[in-house]
Amino acid sequence: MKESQNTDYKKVLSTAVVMTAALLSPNHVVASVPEEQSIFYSKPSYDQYVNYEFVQQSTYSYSGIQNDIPMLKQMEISKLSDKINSIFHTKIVEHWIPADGLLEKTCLFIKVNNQEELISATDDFELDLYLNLKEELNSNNFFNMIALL
Amino acid sequence: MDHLSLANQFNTFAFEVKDKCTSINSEITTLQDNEFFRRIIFSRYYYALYHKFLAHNDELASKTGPGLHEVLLQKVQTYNDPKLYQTFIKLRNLRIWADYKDNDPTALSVNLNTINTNVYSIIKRTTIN
Repeated sequence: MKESQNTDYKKVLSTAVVMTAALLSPNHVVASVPEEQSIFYSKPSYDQYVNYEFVQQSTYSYSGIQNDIPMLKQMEISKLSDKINSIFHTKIVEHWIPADGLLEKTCLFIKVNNQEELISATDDFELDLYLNLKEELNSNNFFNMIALL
Repeated sequence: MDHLSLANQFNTFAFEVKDKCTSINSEITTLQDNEFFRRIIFSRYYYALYHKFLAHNDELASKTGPGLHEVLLQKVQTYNDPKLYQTFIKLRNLRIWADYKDNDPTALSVNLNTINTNVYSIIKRTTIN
Protein backbone atom coordinates (compact mmCIF):
# COMPACT_ATOMS: atom_id res chain seq x y z
CA MET A 1 0.00 0.00 0.00
CA LYS A 2 2.77 2.39 0.90
CA GLU A 3 4.68 1.53 -2.30
CA SER A 4 1.53 2.11 -4.40
CA GLN A 5 1.03 5.56 -2.82
CA ASN A 6 4.63 6.40 -3.56
CA THR A 7 4.15 5.44 -7.25
CA ASP A 8 1.02 7.63 -7.52
CA TYR A 9 2.88 10.53 -5.94
CA LYS A 10 5.68 10.18 -8.50
CA LYS A 11 3.13 10.13 -11.36
CA VAL A 12 1.44 13.32 -10.14
CA LEU A 13 4.78 15.03 -9.61
CA SER A 14 6.10 14.15 -13.07
CA THR A 15 2.85 15.32 -14.72
CA ALA A 16 3.10 18.62 -12.86
CA VAL A 17 6.71 19.09 -13.94
CA VAL A 18 5.85 18.42 -17.61
CA MET A 19 2.90 20.83 -17.52
CA THR A 20 4.95 23.56 -15.86
CA ALA A 21 7.72 23.12 -18.41
CA ALA A 22 5.19 23.33 -21.25
CA LEU A 23 3.66 26.53 -19.87
CA LEU A 24 7.04 28.19 -19.43
CA SER A 25 8.31 27.13 -22.85
CA PRO A 26 8.96 29.99 -25.33
CA ASN A 27 7.06 27.97 -27.92
CA HIS A 28 3.98 28.27 -25.75
CA VAL A 29 4.40 32.08 -25.57
CA VAL A 30 4.36 32.45 -29.38
CA ALA A 31 1.71 29.83 -29.93
CA SER A 32 -0.60 32.39 -31.58
CA VAL A 33 2.06 33.35 -34.15
CA PRO A 34 2.12 31.21 -37.30
CA GLU A 35 4.97 28.70 -37.08
CA GLU A 36 6.81 29.96 -40.16
CA GLN A 37 6.90 33.47 -38.64
CA SER A 38 8.18 32.36 -35.29
CA ILE A 39 11.84 32.87 -34.52
CA PHE A 40 11.63 29.71 -32.40
CA TYR A 41 10.25 27.61 -35.22
CA SER A 42 13.47 26.06 -36.41
CA LYS A 43 16.44 26.15 -34.16
CA PRO A 44 19.64 26.56 -36.16
CA SER A 45 22.81 24.70 -35.39
CA TYR A 46 25.31 26.63 -33.26
CA ASP A 47 27.48 27.68 -36.23
CA GLN A 48 24.64 28.68 -38.59
CA TYR A 49 24.05 32.36 -39.37
CA VAL A 50 20.44 33.37 -38.91
CA ASN A 51 18.97 36.51 -40.38
CA TYR A 52 16.28 37.66 -37.99
CA GLU A 53 15.25 40.59 -40.17
CA PHE A 54 12.22 38.65 -41.36
CA VAL A 55 10.77 38.96 -37.89
CA GLN A 56 9.11 42.33 -37.85
CA GLN A 57 9.84 44.31 -34.73
CA SER A 58 6.45 45.96 -34.78
CA THR A 59 3.50 44.08 -33.42
CA TYR A 60 1.38 45.57 -36.26
CA SER A 61 1.64 42.52 -38.49
CA TYR A 62 0.38 40.27 -35.72
CA SER A 63 -2.48 42.52 -34.75
CA GLY A 64 -6.06 42.05 -35.83
CA ILE A 65 -5.87 45.15 -38.04
CA GLN A 66 -3.99 43.30 -40.80
CA ASN A 67 -7.19 41.46 -41.69
CA ASP A 68 -9.56 44.33 -41.03
CA ILE A 69 -10.16 45.26 -44.67
CA PRO A 70 -12.71 48.05 -44.04
CA MET A 71 -10.32 49.67 -41.56
CA LEU A 72 -7.38 49.35 -43.97
CA LYS A 73 -9.48 50.89 -46.76
CA GLN A 74 -10.32 53.82 -44.51
CA MET A 75 -6.62 54.25 -43.79
CA GLU A 76 -5.81 54.26 -47.53
CA ILE A 77 -8.60 56.79 -48.15
CA SER A 78 -7.21 58.89 -45.35
CA LYS A 79 -3.75 58.82 -46.96
CA LEU A 80 -5.22 59.89 -50.31
CA SER A 81 -7.20 62.59 -48.53
CA ASP A 82 -4.03 63.96 -46.93
CA LYS A 83 -2.36 64.11 -50.33
CA ILE A 84 -5.39 65.87 -51.85
CA ASN A 85 -5.32 68.34 -48.99
CA SER A 86 -1.62 69.06 -49.51
CA ILE A 87 -2.03 69.63 -53.27
CA PHE A 88 -5.49 71.13 -53.70
CA HIS A 89 -6.08 72.47 -50.17
CA THR A 90 -9.39 70.74 -49.85
CA LYS A 91 -10.76 67.66 -48.17
CA ILE A 92 -12.95 64.69 -49.06
CA VAL A 93 -16.50 65.21 -47.82
CA GLU A 94 -18.08 62.12 -49.38
CA HIS A 95 -16.79 58.93 -50.94
CA TRP A 96 -18.22 55.89 -52.67
CA ILE A 97 -16.77 52.58 -53.84
CA PRO A 98 -19.41 51.26 -56.26
CA ALA A 99 -17.65 47.97 -57.10
CA ASP A 100 -16.51 47.35 -53.52
CA GLY A 101 -15.65 43.68 -53.04
CA LEU A 102 -16.27 42.79 -56.69
CA LEU A 103 -12.96 43.79 -58.25
CA GLU A 104 -9.38 43.22 -57.17
CA LYS A 105 -8.82 46.99 -57.22
CA THR A 106 -11.60 49.52 -57.45
CA CYS A 107 -12.23 53.12 -58.35
CA LEU A 108 -12.70 55.50 -55.44
CA PHE A 109 -15.35 58.10 -56.16
CA ILE A 110 -15.02 61.23 -54.06
CA LYS A 111 -16.62 64.60 -53.52
CA VAL A 112 -14.40 67.34 -52.17
CA ASN A 113 -15.30 70.37 -50.14
CA ASN A 114 -15.23 73.10 -52.81
CA GLN A 115 -15.62 70.81 -55.82
CA GLU A 116 -17.54 73.18 -58.11
CA GLU A 117 -15.01 75.92 -57.53
CA LEU A 118 -12.08 73.59 -58.32
CA ILE A 119 -13.81 72.23 -61.42
CA SER A 120 -14.38 75.69 -62.84
CA ALA A 121 -10.83 76.78 -61.97
CA THR A 122 -9.14 73.98 -63.95
CA ASP A 123 -9.48 72.39 -67.39
CA ASP A 124 -10.10 68.94 -65.97
CA PHE A 125 -9.99 68.72 -62.19
CA GLU A 126 -10.85 65.01 -62.22
CA LEU A 127 -7.88 64.22 -64.45
CA ASP A 128 -5.63 66.47 -62.35
CA LEU A 129 -6.67 64.48 -59.30
CA TYR A 130 -5.70 61.20 -60.95
CA LEU A 131 -2.38 62.48 -62.31
CA ASN A 132 -1.39 63.95 -58.97
CA LEU A 133 -2.34 60.79 -57.08
CA LYS A 134 -1.04 58.32 -59.68
CA GLU A 135 1.98 57.28 -57.63
CA GLU A 136 -0.10 56.76 -54.50
CA LEU A 137 -2.65 54.75 -56.48
CA ASN A 138 0.07 52.57 -58.02
CA SER A 139 1.23 51.57 -54.55
CA ASN A 140 -2.30 51.32 -53.16
CA ASN A 141 -3.68 47.91 -52.23
CA PHE A 142 -7.32 48.71 -52.85
CA PHE A 143 -7.75 51.53 -55.37
CA ASN A 144 -6.44 51.88 -58.90
CA MET A 145 -8.39 54.99 -59.86
CA ILE A 146 -9.92 58.10 -58.36
CA ALA A 147 -12.89 59.92 -59.84
CA LEU A 148 -15.39 62.58 -58.89
CA LEU A 149 -18.95 61.98 -57.82
CA MET B 1 -24.40 45.36 -86.41
CA ASP B 2 -20.72 46.30 -86.16
CA HIS B 3 -18.93 47.51 -83.01
CA LEU B 4 -18.88 51.15 -84.06
CA SER B 5 -22.64 51.21 -84.64
CA LEU B 6 -23.20 49.50 -81.29
CA ALA B 7 -20.97 52.05 -79.58
CA ASN B 8 -22.91 54.94 -81.11
CA GLN B 9 -26.30 53.43 -80.33
CA PHE B 10 -25.45 52.59 -76.71
CA ASN B 11 -24.13 56.11 -76.23
CA THR B 12 -27.23 57.68 -77.80
CA PHE B 13 -29.54 55.46 -75.77
CA ALA B 14 -27.79 56.30 -72.48
CA PHE B 15 -27.88 60.00 -73.32
CA GLU B 16 -31.59 59.89 -74.13
CA VAL B 17 -32.45 58.02 -70.92
CA LYS B 18 -30.36 60.53 -68.96
CA ASP B 19 -32.30 63.46 -70.40
CA LYS B 20 -35.75 61.89 -70.37
CA CYS B 21 -38.56 62.79 -68.02
CA THR B 22 -41.52 60.50 -67.59
CA SER B 23 -44.37 59.67 -65.30
CA ILE B 24 -43.55 57.16 -62.59
CA ASN B 25 -46.09 56.53 -59.81
CA SER B 26 -48.19 59.40 -61.21
CA GLU B 27 -45.36 61.87 -60.75
CA ILE B 28 -43.28 63.48 -63.44
CA THR B 29 -39.79 62.23 -62.74
CA THR B 30 -36.42 62.79 -64.34
CA LEU B 31 -35.17 59.30 -65.09
CA GLN B 32 -31.65 60.11 -64.00
CA ASP B 33 -33.00 60.71 -60.49
CA ASN B 34 -34.17 57.13 -60.29
CA GLU B 35 -31.71 54.46 -59.17
CA PHE B 36 -33.09 51.88 -61.59
CA PHE B 37 -32.53 54.15 -64.58
CA ARG B 38 -29.10 55.06 -63.28
CA ARG B 39 -28.22 51.39 -63.63
CA ILE B 40 -29.31 51.42 -67.26
CA ILE B 41 -27.42 54.65 -67.98
CA PHE B 42 -24.13 53.49 -66.40
CA SER B 43 -24.33 50.13 -68.09
CA ARG B 44 -25.05 51.52 -71.56
CA TYR B 45 -22.30 54.13 -71.30
CA TYR B 46 -19.84 51.40 -70.35
CA TYR B 47 -20.85 49.24 -73.31
CA ALA B 48 -20.61 52.26 -75.60
CA LEU B 49 -16.93 52.51 -74.59
CA TYR B 50 -16.45 48.75 -74.75
CA HIS B 51 -17.63 48.54 -78.35
CA LYS B 52 -15.78 51.72 -79.31
CA PHE B 53 -12.49 50.13 -78.22
CA LEU B 54 -13.31 46.88 -80.02
CA ALA B 55 -14.15 48.86 -83.17
CA HIS B 56 -10.61 50.19 -83.17
CA ASN B 57 -8.83 46.95 -82.36
CA ASP B 58 -9.30 44.05 -84.78
CA GLU B 59 -7.33 41.63 -82.63
CA LEU B 60 -9.57 42.16 -79.60
CA ALA B 61 -12.71 42.28 -81.71
CA SER B 62 -12.01 38.77 -82.98
CA LYS B 63 -12.02 37.40 -79.42
CA THR B 64 -15.02 36.43 -77.35
CA GLY B 65 -15.81 35.48 -73.76
CA PRO B 66 -16.20 37.15 -70.38
CA GLY B 67 -12.41 37.55 -69.99
CA LEU B 68 -12.45 40.11 -72.78
CA HIS B 69 -13.36 42.89 -70.34
CA GLU B 70 -10.15 42.28 -68.41
CA VAL B 71 -8.07 41.98 -71.61
CA LEU B 72 -9.56 45.25 -72.80
CA LEU B 73 -8.63 46.92 -69.52
CA GLN B 74 -5.00 45.80 -69.95
CA LYS B 75 -5.04 47.14 -73.52
CA VAL B 76 -6.49 50.53 -72.53
CA GLN B 77 -3.72 50.81 -69.94
CA THR B 78 -1.11 50.60 -72.71
CA TYR B 79 -2.59 53.51 -74.69
CA ASN B 80 -0.79 56.02 -72.45
CA ASP B 81 -3.89 58.21 -72.41
CA PRO B 82 -4.77 58.92 -68.76
CA LYS B 83 -8.19 60.44 -69.49
CA LEU B 84 -9.18 57.46 -71.62
CA TYR B 85 -8.01 55.10 -68.90
CA GLN B 86 -9.75 57.08 -66.14
CA THR B 87 -13.06 57.16 -68.02
CA PHE B 88 -12.90 53.44 -68.78
CA ILE B 89 -12.14 52.48 -65.16
CA LYS B 90 -14.88 54.79 -63.91
CA LEU B 91 -17.52 53.30 -66.17
CA ARG B 92 -16.30 49.75 -65.55
CA ASN B 93 -16.82 50.23 -61.79
CA LEU B 94 -20.20 51.87 -62.26
CA ARG B 95 -21.33 49.11 -64.64
CA ILE B 96 -20.37 46.47 -62.05
CA TRP B 97 -22.37 48.35 -59.43
CA ALA B 98 -25.29 48.59 -61.84
CA ASP B 99 -25.35 44.87 -62.56
CA TYR B 100 -24.33 43.32 -59.27
CA LYS B 101 -24.94 45.60 -56.28
CA ASP B 102 -28.15 46.10 -54.34
CA ASN B 103 -29.77 49.44 -53.76
CA ASP B 104 -27.39 52.25 -52.96
CA PRO B 105 -28.60 55.86 -53.01
CA THR B 106 -25.03 57.17 -53.40
CA ALA B 107 -25.37 56.34 -57.10
CA LEU B 108 -27.66 59.33 -57.40
CA SER B 109 -24.75 61.60 -56.47
CA VAL B 110 -22.75 60.69 -59.58
CA ASN B 111 -22.63 63.58 -62.03
CA LEU B 112 -24.11 62.17 -65.24
CA ASN B 113 -23.31 65.23 -67.32
CA THR B 114 -19.61 64.73 -66.64
CA ILE B 115 -19.85 61.07 -67.59
CA ASN B 116 -21.75 61.94 -70.75
CA THR B 117 -19.03 64.42 -71.74
CA ASN B 118 -16.28 61.90 -70.88
CA VAL B 119 -17.83 59.14 -72.97
CA TYR B 120 -18.86 61.34 -75.88
CA SER B 121 -15.34 62.73 -76.22
CA ILE B 122 -14.13 59.15 -76.75
CA ILE B 123 -17.02 58.06 -78.99
CA LYS B 124 -16.42 60.89 -81.45
CA ARG B 125 -12.70 60.10 -81.83
CA THR B 126 -11.61 58.78 -85.20
CA THR B 127 -8.67 56.88 -83.76
CA ILE B 128 -7.82 55.29 -80.43
CA ASN B 129 -4.25 54.39 -79.67
